Amino acid sequence: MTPKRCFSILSIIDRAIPVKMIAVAGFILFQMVSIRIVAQTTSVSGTVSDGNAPLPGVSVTVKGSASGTKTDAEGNYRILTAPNAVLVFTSINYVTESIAVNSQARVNVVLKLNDASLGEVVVIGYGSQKRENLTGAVTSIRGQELTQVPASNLSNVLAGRLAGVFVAQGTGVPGVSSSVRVRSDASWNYSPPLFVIDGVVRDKVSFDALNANDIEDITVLKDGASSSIYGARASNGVILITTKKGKIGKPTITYNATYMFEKPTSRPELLEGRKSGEMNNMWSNANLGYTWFGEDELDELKRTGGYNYLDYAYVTPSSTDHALNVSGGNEKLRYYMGGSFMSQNGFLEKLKFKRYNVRASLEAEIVEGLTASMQLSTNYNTRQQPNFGGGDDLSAMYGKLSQFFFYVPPYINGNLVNPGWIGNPIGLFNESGYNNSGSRGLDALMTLQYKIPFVKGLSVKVSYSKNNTMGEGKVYQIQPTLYNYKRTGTTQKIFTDTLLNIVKAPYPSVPTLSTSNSNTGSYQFNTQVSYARGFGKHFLDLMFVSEIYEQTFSANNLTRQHFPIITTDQYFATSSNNADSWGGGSESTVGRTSYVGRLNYDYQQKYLLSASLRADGSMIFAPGHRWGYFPSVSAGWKVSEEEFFRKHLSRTFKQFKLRASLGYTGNDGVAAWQWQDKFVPAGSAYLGNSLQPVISYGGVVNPNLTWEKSRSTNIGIDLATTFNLTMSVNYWNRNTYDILGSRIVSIPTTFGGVLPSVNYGKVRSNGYEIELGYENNIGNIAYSLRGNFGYASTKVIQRDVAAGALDVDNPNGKPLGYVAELVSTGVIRTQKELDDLPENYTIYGAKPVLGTLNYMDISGIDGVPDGKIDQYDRQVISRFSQSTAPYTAGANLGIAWKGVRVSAFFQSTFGYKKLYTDNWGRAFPFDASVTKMWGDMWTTDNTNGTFPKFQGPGESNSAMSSSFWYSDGGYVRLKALTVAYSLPAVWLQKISVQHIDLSFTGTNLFYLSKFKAYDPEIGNLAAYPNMKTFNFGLHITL
Amino acid sequence: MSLQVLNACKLGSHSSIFQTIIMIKKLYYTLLSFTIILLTAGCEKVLDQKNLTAINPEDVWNDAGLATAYVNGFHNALMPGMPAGTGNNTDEAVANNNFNVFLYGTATIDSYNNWPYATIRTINTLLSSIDKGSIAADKKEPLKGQAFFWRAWAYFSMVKGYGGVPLILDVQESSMSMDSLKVKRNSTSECFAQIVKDVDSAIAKLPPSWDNNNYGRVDKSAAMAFKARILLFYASPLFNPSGLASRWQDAYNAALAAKEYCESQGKGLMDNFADIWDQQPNKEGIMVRVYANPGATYFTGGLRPYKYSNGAAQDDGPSLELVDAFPMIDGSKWNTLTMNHDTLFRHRDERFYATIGYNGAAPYLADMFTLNENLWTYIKPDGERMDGTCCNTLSSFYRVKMMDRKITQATVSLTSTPWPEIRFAELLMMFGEAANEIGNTAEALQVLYDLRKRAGILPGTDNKYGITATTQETIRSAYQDEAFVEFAFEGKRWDYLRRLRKFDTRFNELKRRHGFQVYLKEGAPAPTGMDDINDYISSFDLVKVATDVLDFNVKPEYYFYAIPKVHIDANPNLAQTKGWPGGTFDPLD
Repeated sequence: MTPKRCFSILSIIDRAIPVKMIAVAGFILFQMVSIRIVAQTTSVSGTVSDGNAPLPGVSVTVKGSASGTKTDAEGNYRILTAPNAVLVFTSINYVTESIAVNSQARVNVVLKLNDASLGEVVVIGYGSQKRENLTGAVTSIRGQELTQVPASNLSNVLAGRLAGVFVAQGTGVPGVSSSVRVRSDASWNYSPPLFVIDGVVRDKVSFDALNANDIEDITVLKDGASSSIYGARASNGVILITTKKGKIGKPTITYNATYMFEKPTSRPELLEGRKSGEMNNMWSNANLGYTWFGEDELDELKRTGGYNYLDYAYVTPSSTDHALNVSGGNEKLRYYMGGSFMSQNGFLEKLKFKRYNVRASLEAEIVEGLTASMQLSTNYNTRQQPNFGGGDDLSAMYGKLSQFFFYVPPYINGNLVNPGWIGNPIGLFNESGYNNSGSRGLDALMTLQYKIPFVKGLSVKVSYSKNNTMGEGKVYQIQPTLYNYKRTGTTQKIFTDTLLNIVKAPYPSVPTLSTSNSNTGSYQFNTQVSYARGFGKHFLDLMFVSEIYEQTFSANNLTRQHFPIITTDQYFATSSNNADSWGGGSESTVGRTSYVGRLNYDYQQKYLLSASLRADGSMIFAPGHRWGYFPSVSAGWKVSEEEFFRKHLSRTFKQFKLRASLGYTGNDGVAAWQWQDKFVPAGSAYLGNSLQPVISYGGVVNPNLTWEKSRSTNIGIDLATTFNLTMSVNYWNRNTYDILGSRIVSIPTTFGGVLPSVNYGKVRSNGYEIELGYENNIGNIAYSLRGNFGYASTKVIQRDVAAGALDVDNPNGKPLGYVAELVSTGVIRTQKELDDLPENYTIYGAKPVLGTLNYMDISGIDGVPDGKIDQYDRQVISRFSQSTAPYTAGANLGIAWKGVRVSAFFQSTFGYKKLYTDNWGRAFPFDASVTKMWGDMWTTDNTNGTFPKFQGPGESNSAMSSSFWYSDGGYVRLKALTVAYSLPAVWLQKISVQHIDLSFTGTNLFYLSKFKAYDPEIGNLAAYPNMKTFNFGLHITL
Repeated sequence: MSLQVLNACKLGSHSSIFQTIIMIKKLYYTLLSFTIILLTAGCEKVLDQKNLTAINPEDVWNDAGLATAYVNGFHNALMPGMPAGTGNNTDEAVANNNFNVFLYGTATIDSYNNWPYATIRTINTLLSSIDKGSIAADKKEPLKGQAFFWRAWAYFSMVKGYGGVPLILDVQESSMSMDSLKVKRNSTSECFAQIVKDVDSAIAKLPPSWDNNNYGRVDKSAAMAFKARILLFYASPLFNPSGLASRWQDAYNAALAAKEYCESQGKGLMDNFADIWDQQPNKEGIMVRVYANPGATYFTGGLRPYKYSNGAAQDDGPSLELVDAFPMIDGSKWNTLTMNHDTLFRHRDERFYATIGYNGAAPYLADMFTLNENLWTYIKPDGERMDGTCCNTLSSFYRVKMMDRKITQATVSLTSTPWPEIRFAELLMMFGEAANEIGNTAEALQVLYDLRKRAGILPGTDNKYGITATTQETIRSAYQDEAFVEFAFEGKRWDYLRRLRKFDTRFNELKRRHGFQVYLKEGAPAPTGMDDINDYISSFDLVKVATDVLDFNVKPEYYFYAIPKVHIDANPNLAQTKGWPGGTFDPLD
């Protein structure tokens, strides 16, 4: 490998023409493969087996060269090599064997099964460790498993996979990621888990931009001791991602392709057209004093059934995904190259997501002991949305499509009808321009590792990572053309096909083109010295790291309005008038520096000890308060290594380990510069004949601001039995203190300012996790079962509370995110119930009437029931809400028989209450198609109706949130069901292919929940729902 | 830290990473020692970043430009804007979907929350800091003047709602104990005294006027007119139910001083009522919020007939009560008993035509000029409504007043008509009202004559423009009638009725507001385009409808609002207003 060739890779990435890139990458790989140097003198053959049956597809390579072959269907191989060569036999799930040829013509090998659960090496902070020697709470998942559930980003894939990791997918919008939480939030200052990709601290956006096919494994550091190595930002757990590297052996080329189409998991259920119209009339007569639809118009609604714009706009969402990667190498040089392309379309024409990834990894041993490695990756993703959407879950859009304008035909004679008001939603979404956003990532990581030859066990590693993320946005807003048709009917709600005139839609008010760009550049520079050596029964592993991180961010935007001559999405077409253009921008910088030290010690592989200390410096805090120190200590005892255990229990247990840990972590998730007195720009004010600048005081400062700290303890048991059952149990406890908070609530509102954050709060949290695995076979049917279960909860010990606050509003002693609402006693159904209420009884000032909800009168301003329902009557109705759901569980069942594999993956979150919400809150959707629930509201004819009547003028409001509208939000979901078939090796041999797998995966196929109104994972009836997906996959390995 | 190390911090962001590898390969022993240096030395320099958006606090009070930018912040926060749609909460307009909790009697302690202490703090910050800086007096005094004006404005906006509130006149330090921050409500009289003191400081410091680049800032005229408004409130029955004469005298003095000063500055009544909004800036504006497109615009879609709006409608649809309140051209009152609403648009004063859009009214929107059509609001026998509204034309009247004639259906969100919060006519009316209360009847009547003359009302043989009032009581009543039409839709009505303690009686006696549905008779000729309505009088049936579905139920305790729970929770020392649950604070003290 010459430097020149590598430069060509760089320049290709620069050009960033993704599709071509995959092709070029393939070409380069071909070149690389061809640089093998082989000396062929003698022919060696033999059979590889597992002791019972021959093993096909085992890679046979010559040590020190790239020469190699694979065993055939009967486990036979033949290779030409030097008589003194060493042959290396590798196969997934088997322990690699190296055997010297010693001039033999026939070498037969028996490969031992690699006991994954025991021999596995797990990535930990700044290194790796054998799973059996772990002393902290660490869980991990292999890249292979990630690719089983197709999704547009990695967060969505993690749901239910890892014990103690909570993932909530709030919408099925293409390209929108899920929220990820490890155990419980450490404090009320939300900060996501720390994402570390190949040793470099990154963020969730970078994580989601990865392609699952490029990932070797993901490890989650859950307890304080494991994560405290990442110090100041590790309180909410650490997610370590290792990308694929080249492996010694013959080149392996894999190609994965999936095609997927989607169906919504749930859609709002609506009343039939005429019934909707009648309900609208009931409402308008009560609230406006006149009838909304005439009888003729109700008949028309009966005829049409009511229009649902969603049906007209809907295109079946689909996506395709292609990934090609190549890896291989020898002792001197290893390489991995991967390229992928994914394209996802949403339910509207203008809803698209595309992602391109290219990744290359090279490792070379330059001289004995000195290894240089280099990883380059680039990703590019683009997301297109209509420029009328309303947030990530598109709730403004989806809800309108389902319910608005249900008496207006969307099209007449192929023209978009103008329904008035905001205009035709289909026009808004499909013909009013677009809102595009995208990001380009370009990452390079260079590592140099030197095993110092004259000190055994000492090595030095220097790594430098440079990361650039460029964000880009382009919004093009034009007014769609709408057609006004003559209307008839008592209230003019029947549309005829007589065209009156053609108009521009009211939205957007001005045709506009705007673009924005942001650029985040950062580097991380690490120097690491490690010393690992055994002395008799003692083994010592010491490590010291220094880390520097700097980031610069810049952003700018430009907007121009009006298209005087032609309307096109280019600046040249926009108005040249100065008043029609404006722009802006900002810049910021971040700096961090850290020192890390760790000691791992074990005695006889029986007693394990690990201790670490990290010092973190952050510019978020004032000089003098910048440095935080985060120590940890953990210990393990492999009881199964003890003589007494071996004697009595080794028939049952292969391994039995006890662990305990204590660690400190931090959180600096507060706004920077709070320690510095300053004024900041604050918009503009129009005066005279121009906009004049505005500045405002940057807030009261706290020069003593410093980290939030968490002290976590964890105890755990890991065991493996001789009957194939493995189990890991953790119990944890975390005290977070010095929590940053502003005394907003307790400070009198006349203060007028916001007090700065101070380190004062305390939150205690605890929980447990269980992971179970079992595998066995019946004849040639192999089956496996893996499950995980996690519980996490919090309790606020000290938090700001207003002096006169009610108990229900005092957060202390309650979990974060508890739910306090009025407690409903149900619908007032009879006159007697109404008459039994005290005199002058009011609900938020209004008189209750028949059919409205009543509530428990718990208290009043004087602390006793006062015949008035108001804020004083709220009670804690649930300790947990959706975002703080305490329980999570996942179960993966797998069965394999010959080439067929079936796996089912269930995921569950439960233990909390969820509020029903739609586009109208819970109020009556006037002038819109009515949701089914209203068909069962209380009326004089339906006194047993489930739901309260809508609010009439001066009447109490039943739609405000109260216990009535909450129900158990827990759910169990069949997250993925996969059926895969591997073509028989006998067939493949003829075409020199290792594997061809065909697969079908269905995701979100069904769920069970007490929450009935809509998919319990989404936030609002009107939100773009989660999707059922049907995926067809092809996987080829050459 | 050595130079070498610094370079290492920035290593390799560019150029050849691979050359670096080769170099390092050759020099690996060097590298090792280098590494150890790095480890021990570190790179703490990366923690010394600069905040790229911060402005140094010392600079702000040494630079008139920065200090002005700071003043712009609270100017923007407190300067009122065009009050579109506020008529629906009063008897000026009929109901829209908005259900006002005060009008219908379901208000709670949380229903009114106006608590601008954050802005007051920013003002206090300027007042306590600016003298420490080096800004020259001629620049500094007007800045301080603005600060005093807006502090008075912020406190007055609270006091006229709640009565006395805590007076915070300094920047409360964050180091102060929680207990010392738990302030009590000052009495209403203390608050008025402080508000007047602040506005007097403003009058002393503010310039007579600003240059064109600063038009829209408050000046001395605005401060003096505002002082008159403050003292008029304090003298009015809301705060002065026993009618202390000294307060009326104070109000009179302030109004007279303001009137004379404004006149000396060239302020006065515009000749033509409609031009007050159409031709700005002008001499009638005393305190004006400036708007411009692009950059400072607002939405008026809801004020237009559905046919010319962008979907929204129903805001400020004039009530029949308002329509009937406009005098005839000879100054006499509309008499429902003797006059026929079929021709309600005949012989009214100019304000009527500049305020009310009725079936057959002349074009007043850009779209109507383009299409060459009058305002048609009638309903055809087949149900079609000429104004494009689907189901209900509310009152069949539309607001014409202050509508921007350049705005089209497509640009309703880009309205930029400046908003005169205080105009000369208001100052005149305040002056006249106070004059009447202290017995200066002639002055009081002259104001009415002036306004009516400007409204195009004929002087009549007695030169009294139709005014028949002669006693204090009847003049009071004439003022109330005049204010209703002169200031219709200017956002003044709600407080006007409260100030005179007519808030509950006016609404509770009225019970519901009314409008017309104008039906085209079956087979009758239907006017379109620029047809003259006078030729089609007999084509229509006017049906009077009540637009509220519930009777008004304004309660006596609504004269002073409750302090919302959130403020009392944080500070139990804040006493609740009398009349509300647990209320002990008397706003009349």
